Amino acid sequence: MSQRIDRRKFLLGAGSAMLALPMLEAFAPRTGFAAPLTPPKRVLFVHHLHGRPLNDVDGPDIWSPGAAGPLPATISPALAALAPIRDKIVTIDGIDNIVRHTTGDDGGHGSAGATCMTCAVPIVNATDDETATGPSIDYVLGERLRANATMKPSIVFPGQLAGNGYQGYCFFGPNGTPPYLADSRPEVVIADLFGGIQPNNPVPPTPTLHDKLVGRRGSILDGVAKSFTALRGKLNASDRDRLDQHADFVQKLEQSIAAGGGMVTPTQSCTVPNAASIPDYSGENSRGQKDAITTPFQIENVIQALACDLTRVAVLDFDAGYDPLFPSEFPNTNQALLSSNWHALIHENGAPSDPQAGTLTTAFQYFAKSFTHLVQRLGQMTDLDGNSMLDSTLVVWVSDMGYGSRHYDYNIPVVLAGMPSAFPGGQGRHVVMNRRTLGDLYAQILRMVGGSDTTFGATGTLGDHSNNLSTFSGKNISASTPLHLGPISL
Amino acid sequence: MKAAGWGADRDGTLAALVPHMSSDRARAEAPRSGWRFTPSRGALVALTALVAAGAIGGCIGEIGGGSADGKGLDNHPTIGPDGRYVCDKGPYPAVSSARRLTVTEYENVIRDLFGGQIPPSTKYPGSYGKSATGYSTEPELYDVGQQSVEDLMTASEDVAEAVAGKLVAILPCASAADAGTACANQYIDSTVRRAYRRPVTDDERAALLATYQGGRDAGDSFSEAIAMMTAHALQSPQFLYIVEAAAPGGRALDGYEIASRLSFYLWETLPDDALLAKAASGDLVSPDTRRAEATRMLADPRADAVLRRFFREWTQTNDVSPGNKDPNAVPGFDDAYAQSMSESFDRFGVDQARNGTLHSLLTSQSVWVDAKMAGFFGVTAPASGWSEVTLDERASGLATQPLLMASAAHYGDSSYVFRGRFVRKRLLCGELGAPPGNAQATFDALPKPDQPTGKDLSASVNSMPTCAGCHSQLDPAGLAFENFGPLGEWRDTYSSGKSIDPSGSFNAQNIGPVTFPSYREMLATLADQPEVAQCFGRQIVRFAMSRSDSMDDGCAAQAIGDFVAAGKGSLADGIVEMAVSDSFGYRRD
Repeated sequence: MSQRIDRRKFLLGAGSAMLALPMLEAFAPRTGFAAPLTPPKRVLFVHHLHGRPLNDVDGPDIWSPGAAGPLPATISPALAALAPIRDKIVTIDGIDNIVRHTTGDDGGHGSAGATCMTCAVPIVNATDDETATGPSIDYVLGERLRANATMKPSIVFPGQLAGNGYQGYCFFGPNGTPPYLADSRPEVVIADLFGGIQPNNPVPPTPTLHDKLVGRRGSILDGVAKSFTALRGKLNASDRDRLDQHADFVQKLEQSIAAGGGMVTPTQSCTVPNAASIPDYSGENSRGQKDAITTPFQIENVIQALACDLTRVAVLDFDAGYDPLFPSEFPNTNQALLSSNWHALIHENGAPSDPQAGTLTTAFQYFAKSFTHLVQRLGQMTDLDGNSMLDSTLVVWVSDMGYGSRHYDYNIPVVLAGMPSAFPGGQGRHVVMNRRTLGDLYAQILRMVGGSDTTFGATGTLGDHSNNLSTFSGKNISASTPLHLGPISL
Repeated sequence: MKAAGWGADRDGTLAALVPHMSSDRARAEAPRSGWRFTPSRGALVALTALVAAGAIGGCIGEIGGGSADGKGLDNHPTIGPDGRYVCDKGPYPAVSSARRLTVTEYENVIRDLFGGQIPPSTKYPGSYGKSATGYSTEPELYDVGQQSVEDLMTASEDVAEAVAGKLVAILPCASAADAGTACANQYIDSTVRRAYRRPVTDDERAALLATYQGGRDAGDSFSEAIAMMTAHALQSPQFLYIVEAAAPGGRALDGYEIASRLSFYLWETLPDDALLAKAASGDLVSPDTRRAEATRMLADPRADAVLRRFFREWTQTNDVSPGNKDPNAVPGFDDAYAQSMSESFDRFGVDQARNGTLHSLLTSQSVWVDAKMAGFFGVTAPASGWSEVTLDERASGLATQPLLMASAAHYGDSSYVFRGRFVRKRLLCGELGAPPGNAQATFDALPKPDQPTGKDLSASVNSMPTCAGCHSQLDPAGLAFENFGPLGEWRDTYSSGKSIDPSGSFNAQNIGPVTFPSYREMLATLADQPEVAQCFGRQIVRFAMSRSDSMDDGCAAQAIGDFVAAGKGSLADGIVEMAVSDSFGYRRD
């Protein structure tokens, strides 16, 4: 059984879970913790690799629902598992990642990863090796939506056990710095993120050393900043840049602490996940068997991180070191994937008659089922106003590529759900754009949560940023191709 | 941060500095069709620094200003008519960058700093991005973001709390009832000095004492105030970064800087007392002292982990797991089997590093076995633990170690491309471009015979001119290993029953045509090639210096290569020679 949270006690104790909020301040009596009637807006991203499984040259587009209009009952072969939430989703064709073509790099993965969530022109290091330069859309949204400077803007949750190699791939903080990555092990996430919430513990009569260290963070960081200053003048330019970036983050953290904590507003359904309820998966099971155990708990961690207001933007990322598995579809074995991993499987697919087309369709149900489960769970959660959390949460499912089998970056697969008030045209529809960019889509998402943005990421044309464009697989792009093509009507 | 995908090949920067080479050398290393010379950011930094150094001239650094023997420091090696570096006008300082401690280094440092009494925090943030050289200590991998700065803060608090609980054992003067500022200064001069790997400056001391005093003023006990200061010190760049003062005109490093380089190169931790004593006395500036210290450290078991990491990263060999391999390839292959395979590889590498030569590294018939690996090789298992056994002529050193073969393979089959890449990139230091984005689709569309052999597939690929540029160079070396299956197991034929032909030939830069009936002869030929020895030297430079090798590292790499060239010296001599080199003892910016 999980612990149910008393909101009042949660508010008193939540400070210890907020990294930068001093515990001693959090324990002090606070006023105004009564729940506001208007829930905060939240955004939940789901991300998988390699886009639509098949390309539109070698095989059928098993992802697209087809013509614009009401979604058919079966939606599409790849999205069949979305049927239970068909009336709550909008699927979109015609969204392209244009900015990726500033790189002159036809490699595919590096440029896609650096741009698909940032829309920023990356630094090209070598073929298939790009450095992201901008924050990803989840981070930008999180900075705007969070309650206060101590709340994490966005947390990226690995959807499957990933080991140390997992790095978020497409998600970045300011200037392409690492994102907030949660651990891939759900029990570690519970300890890391929810560990400070101790609703049933009395306020300690005297602060412990830990409390004092947390309470003194501001002054300690001030001293740390002085240590940076003491060293700075002796460094060469590149070392100075490296340490200046570090010092800037120290200063930002210090400022966050000085700003104090604002109102954390957990929902009625906020429940601390119980690590003890996770079955032992440390044995000789295959990775797929382990993922079958851990992923549902990780999904619940995502839901509760939003419900408990630990963050207002979260990402569930099915990456697993480029190698997601599909335990709900191929239980107990990896062999049904035919090859070593999802990447190879997608690339090895050929003609429509290829039996792997069926395997790809089956595998994709895993993503669709996970998305369906997330949406349904949000629908079950009671928000601050007594309505469903899904009413105030926009759920966005995107991928790093369009037609992954050839590393194409057009026709990125997009599924939106939740926050029905942000869809004037209603939900349960398939929308076909006449070519819009990811920058257009993300600007629209910023507008859906209250912004007035018309662009996201790099602006202008491809030629404004590069005279070495990568190819677009026969599509008509050139130096004059704009990075934004206008608003998206939903 | 990097978002690298498959096949990002950017190790080595010598090619980026081709304009500095003599015309003969430049021609000799000019890109062939399909081969790509890609300057890395590290190379461009190095190149820029060279230009800047020339433009600025003179030394404006705070330390040094000339070599110990009075020679100037703004020197760069040249290339002689024989293609070798001319190294008689040194010293040759090279560019280095500050880098944050790796997770392993952090854990070792915390262990050693507090005598094993304080556990390292599990929250210390690790690397992010992809290594350009293949080695895991590159500075760019440890740049911080918002989350990592928070993680560094909480990690420092974990350790600080633990220190307060055992402070008397760490700082004896803390037992006095009136322990105060004088005792806090002792902590700075002992623990913080070791954490910073050098004496603490006045400015640094003042900042640390301000944090301590802030705690006392707020009513904290002495141990609590020391905990505050510890949290401060462990978040300071002086602790977190291996950092040296800039020297635009080049300078000799001081003893403390050399001690740090040595200890992190060979032990992945802070200098021990013996090294610090030699740092304080200035003895480490002497190459002879450095050689003696490096020899001592390499022989110490604490070097084992470094040597293991070197061979793993040099060969780009990863652990394999049952989930990522066809279970039919080797019956009974489970997690324990996989661990034994990894251990067997690591033991081979460590043993060769201490006792082997380049020739034995590539041709030895020795392997290390426990019960699992004895079963793998079909030899008698040791009574317990591990032992070295000599196999038949099918074994040939590092390349045929099962872990390397299995790592350079697919789920259910071998990969002549991965294995060829190992030979061309890691043994010969060749530069390879990444495959184009449509490579797999192009390959899929090619006509192939039924149940193709490796050579059949290679022939199909090489029928495409756009592919042949690289694959004609890449494939023959990899096809030589086709007798090793997806888990490195021996096979006489393909599963289709078709025979395996491991013969082939390729052209290698500065070597010429290499023709061989199988991998054994290929490896034996390469083992005696100066070019392979020189590549080993470059790999040691990249590993030790945490960066791509530049033109200024040429003499260091060449000296190491000369040491390990056939019949001249052991691998250990080459590893030690790195510490004696100008690249190690000097820097420029």
